[in-house]
Amino acid sequence: MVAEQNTVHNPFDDGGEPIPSHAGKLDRNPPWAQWTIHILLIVLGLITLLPMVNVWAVSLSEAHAIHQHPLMLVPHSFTLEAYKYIFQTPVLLKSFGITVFVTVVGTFLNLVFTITAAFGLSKTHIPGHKYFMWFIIVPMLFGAGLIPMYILLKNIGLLDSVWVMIIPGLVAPFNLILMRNFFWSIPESLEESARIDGASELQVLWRVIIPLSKPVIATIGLFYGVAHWNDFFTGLFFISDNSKWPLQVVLRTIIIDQSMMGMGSATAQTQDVTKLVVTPENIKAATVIFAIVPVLAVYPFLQKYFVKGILLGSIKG
Amino acid sequence: MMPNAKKAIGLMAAMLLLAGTLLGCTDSANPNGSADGDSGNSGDGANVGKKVKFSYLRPTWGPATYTKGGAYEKELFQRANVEIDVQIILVIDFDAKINTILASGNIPDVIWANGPVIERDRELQEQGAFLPINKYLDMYPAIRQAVPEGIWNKLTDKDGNIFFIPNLIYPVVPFQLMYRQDWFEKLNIPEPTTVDEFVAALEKIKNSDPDGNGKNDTIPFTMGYEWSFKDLGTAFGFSQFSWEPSATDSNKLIPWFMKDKEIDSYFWLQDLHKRGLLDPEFKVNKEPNFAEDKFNAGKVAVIPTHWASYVDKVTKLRKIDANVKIGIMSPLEGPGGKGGNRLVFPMDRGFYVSAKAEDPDGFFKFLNWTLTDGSDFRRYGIEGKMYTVKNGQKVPIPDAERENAYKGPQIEPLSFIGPMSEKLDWDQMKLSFEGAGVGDKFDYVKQKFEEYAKEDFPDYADPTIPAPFNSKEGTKLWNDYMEQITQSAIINHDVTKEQWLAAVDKWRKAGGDKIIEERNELQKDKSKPNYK
Amino acid sequence: MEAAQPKRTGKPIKVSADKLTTRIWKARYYYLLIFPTLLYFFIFAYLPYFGLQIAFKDFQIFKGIWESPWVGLDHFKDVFTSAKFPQLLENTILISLYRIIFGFPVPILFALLLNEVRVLWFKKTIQTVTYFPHFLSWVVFAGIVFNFIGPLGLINLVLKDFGLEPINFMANPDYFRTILVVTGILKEFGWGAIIYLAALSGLDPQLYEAAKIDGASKLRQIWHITLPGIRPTIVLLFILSLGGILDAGFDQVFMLLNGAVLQVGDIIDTYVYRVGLLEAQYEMATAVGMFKGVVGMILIVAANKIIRRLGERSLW
Repeated sequence: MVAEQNTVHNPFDDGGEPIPSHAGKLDRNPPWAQWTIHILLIVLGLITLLPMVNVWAVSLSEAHAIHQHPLMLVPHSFTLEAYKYIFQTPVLLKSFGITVFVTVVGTFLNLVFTITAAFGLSKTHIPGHKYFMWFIIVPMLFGAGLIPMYILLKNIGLLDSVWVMIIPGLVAPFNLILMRNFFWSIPESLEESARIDGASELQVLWRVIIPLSKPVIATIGLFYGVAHWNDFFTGLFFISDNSKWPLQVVLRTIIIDQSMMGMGSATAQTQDVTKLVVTPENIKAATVIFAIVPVLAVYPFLQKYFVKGILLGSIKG
Repeated sequence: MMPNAKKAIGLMAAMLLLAGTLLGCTDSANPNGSADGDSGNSGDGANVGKKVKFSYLRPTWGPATYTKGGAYEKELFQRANVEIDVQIILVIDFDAKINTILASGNIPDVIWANGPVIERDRELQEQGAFLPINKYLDMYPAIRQAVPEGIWNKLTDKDGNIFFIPNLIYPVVPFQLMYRQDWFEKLNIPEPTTVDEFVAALEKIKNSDPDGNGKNDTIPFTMGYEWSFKDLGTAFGFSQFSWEPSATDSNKLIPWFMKDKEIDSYFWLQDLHKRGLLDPEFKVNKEPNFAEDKFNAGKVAVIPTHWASYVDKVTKLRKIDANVKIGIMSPLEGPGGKGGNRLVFPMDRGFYVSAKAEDPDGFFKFLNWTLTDGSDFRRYGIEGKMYTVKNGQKVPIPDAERENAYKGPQIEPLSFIGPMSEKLDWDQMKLSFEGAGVGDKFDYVKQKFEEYAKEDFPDYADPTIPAPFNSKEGTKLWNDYMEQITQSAIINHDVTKEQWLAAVDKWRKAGGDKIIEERNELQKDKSKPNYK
Repeated sequence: MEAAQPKRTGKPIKVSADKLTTRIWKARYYYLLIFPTLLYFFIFAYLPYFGLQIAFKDFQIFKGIWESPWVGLDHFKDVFTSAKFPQLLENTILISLYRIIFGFPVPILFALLLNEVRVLWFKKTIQTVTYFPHFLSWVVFAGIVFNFIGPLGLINLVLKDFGLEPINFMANPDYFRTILVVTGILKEFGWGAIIYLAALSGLDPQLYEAAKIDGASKLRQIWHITLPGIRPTIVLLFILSLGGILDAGFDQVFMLLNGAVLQVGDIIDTYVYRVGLLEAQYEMATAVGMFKGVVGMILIVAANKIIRRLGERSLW
């Protein structure tokens, strides 16, 4: 039965001979190449780690120390006041809950719609396929703009509801096309044998395609999830009631710098210079860290699907 | 292939039709788009017992953490017998947000906007989006008296209607030259009184090590924006970024980038930049507060900055060096004589009442209350929570020491207008100096303020006079011809005055002349304005 | 070696001789799976397109989109005849092209390198760390870049210590596009590699086994198995990135742009922001958006044609 596919460790293993566990070892690069690769990767890792360490260090330093040390990598004049400041924000916890809800429910629905549509669209032989693809590509290239969207959402009653952060972004064309491409790479023979066993289209999707597509589902789930997590635009424009704001909007309202409005321009947008509010650097940095930590906590659970390649899998037997 | 295509197109057409009718239905079912179904208050609502209800959209200057149902809100609602449905939006997002709201016809009863100083709001007034308020100003004199009569006149349209209630600001906001007096004394530099002495002082600082860290890394002079330069600019004899009478024809106003003195000041700054006297990060660092931060971190000797930031600067610098001394230079004497301050138009936004508001009278009654019986509550709030009484004076409790429910972000969204007479309150200022432990400096700062305030440099253009061509084409013409030269003149040392003038020529030919003509034609009164 | 090529799957199935109605009936479950998503696009992408008409109108906010008067192609003329337009277009296309030429291969190479790592914790750590910067907004990241190469940044401090003249990288037109491309790569290559990692993890290990038995070297394996295996993903992302050629990265450019480099760094989006959006002139923003969409569409169609000629699976 097709169900057997689920139990097989290697998705492309047709259940025949298991791969010998020593196979990977024959596959080593020459030592010098291996060294070069590792050193290169360490350098890249350090370069990309640096900005994050800097933000972390700034978030734990006193404001006056920050400008005395141009690129600090450890906190100077250590203080937790920035985090205390963030945590005393009245709507913070609620907004965190809203964002978690939107991210979890939103990503789930994103995946349901994206996977089903991508599966259907991976069948290029169905009549109308080409037009469906056009129908999906056009929105990727043309946006309607903020005002028409606002009017639409107002008319269908989504304004000021947390669902406005989920439903209008249900499927991203880019992710849909990506997913479909991955479905193409699944050997048709697997699907055919399942069909011969009498599986319906949905059963094929559920028992063959999805189990074999864990890496890409994890990847696209990550794309959707991070997009939900980082999205402040939707909340900002489509939710007026600030008790329903998501985390990123609330964080943004904490750290905003009014002076960013370009006081220098001849048409100064704020005449009242007494109102120029400036947030200390450490608070800005702390909001960045605060928003990233939950993502990091969840990441390893997704990462394992696409980092651990087949080759590694075969080494581990 | 053909039937295939037809089928697909047919399917899509059917879907379009279906969804179109769906959308059309909801559209026509909700013509007013009013979301606040709970405001069932009809009639005049003048009787005391009836709660006044209205919705209110306003920008906040952050942090936007206002929470409905808070303690202050409850107290206000009870005292004033109102119920306000407040929506807040950060000031930097405000324009985009109200555009969407206005375009969707979803206008709250009371809404903040820029007022008839911009074309959009003038158009909205004309198109009947807002309520004329003359009647209510007559009924409630306290509101009329809160705003100087001259401002009301400017806000009156050609038919004699007033729509807009301005949020006033005090027009004198000096950007004074603050400097490290301790360093100047150490290096034996006397306080500069002229522009030349000022440059000489910067030169001396550049070549020494005032903070004694062994490195020659003290920045003589920094500033955050060109706008910080506005009052130093007066020493050159111009009012920055403003229309002023042309040197050759006092009855013709010309824009800032055509004024010779102002152009020269840009190249003066370029020279400072070239000589390493002006912060090399000027105009390159996008951190909005970099200049202030660097001064507060003890890396800069002189900064032109908001006069009221003195206390903040002293407090922050004292953390690094307990003996720090900050001086304020008097207005410098320059090529244009003795300087003063570049006035600002005494208004920053304000609000409209929607033409569809259910109970405008109730709203004005409430507004009147905030300026009469409720005046003290509006200014000071709740005793013990927001202020204490010392020697018969109401002393505000600093925000950091208040309970969360009484902090600024909970109060600001519920504030409306304050009269001009409250805008420069020296008594309050003195209290805040004392609170910060620099009470002995209060008289010094006040005296400097008054020195700057002596000489006014206003913008001769009246922003309330519509200039339709400029509104339509001005920004584009500016970006096409002037943006690059003005943005690069100071920091790109190859830019010359000839190039600047050539850019102006192109701008004028491409339509700039029409902007100048329009301004001079529509604004009959070209005398020096006075907002004080 | 050619035998080691992964089996080309999902080739266009031979067009069956059935009648259309029969074929549709046979595919009915696939339609059911696709339909909700099409409906979604119809409502949330196509219905708001009524707003595109403001590109041809004098949009008056209170009158609304439908009631505003028509002005024909005025807004398009405004943009295309602008004295700045040639420069904006040149900057936008050049910056985008540099990004594609230099930036596009980096995540692929990085994923390939990572794929050679055998120690799982090391691989995971490097992969996690490199995708960090994706979570920093350009506001924050640009600040850090500035701390490095700004006039008083780290590099200039070092130069100064060696008695050299400081270099104002940020205000030098010769460096600006390079800075854009390099910092753009640094911020996003780790994130961009994730999709290739997913593709790599789907390759059939038996192909490698077969290659080893044939005695193929490591490089030959990469060339003949790995790269062909992720080729569909590369091709797809390449086509899509061509479609966005007139998006040169507003957030980044906006944060790094300054007056001294305006002539090489001002792109269509920054201009539209200053002239259109800041001034609430949505007509211009909409007109430019349509222009960008049309150009993107043309490029995608062309790229798709070429790809199909080369025997690769196309977008549709």
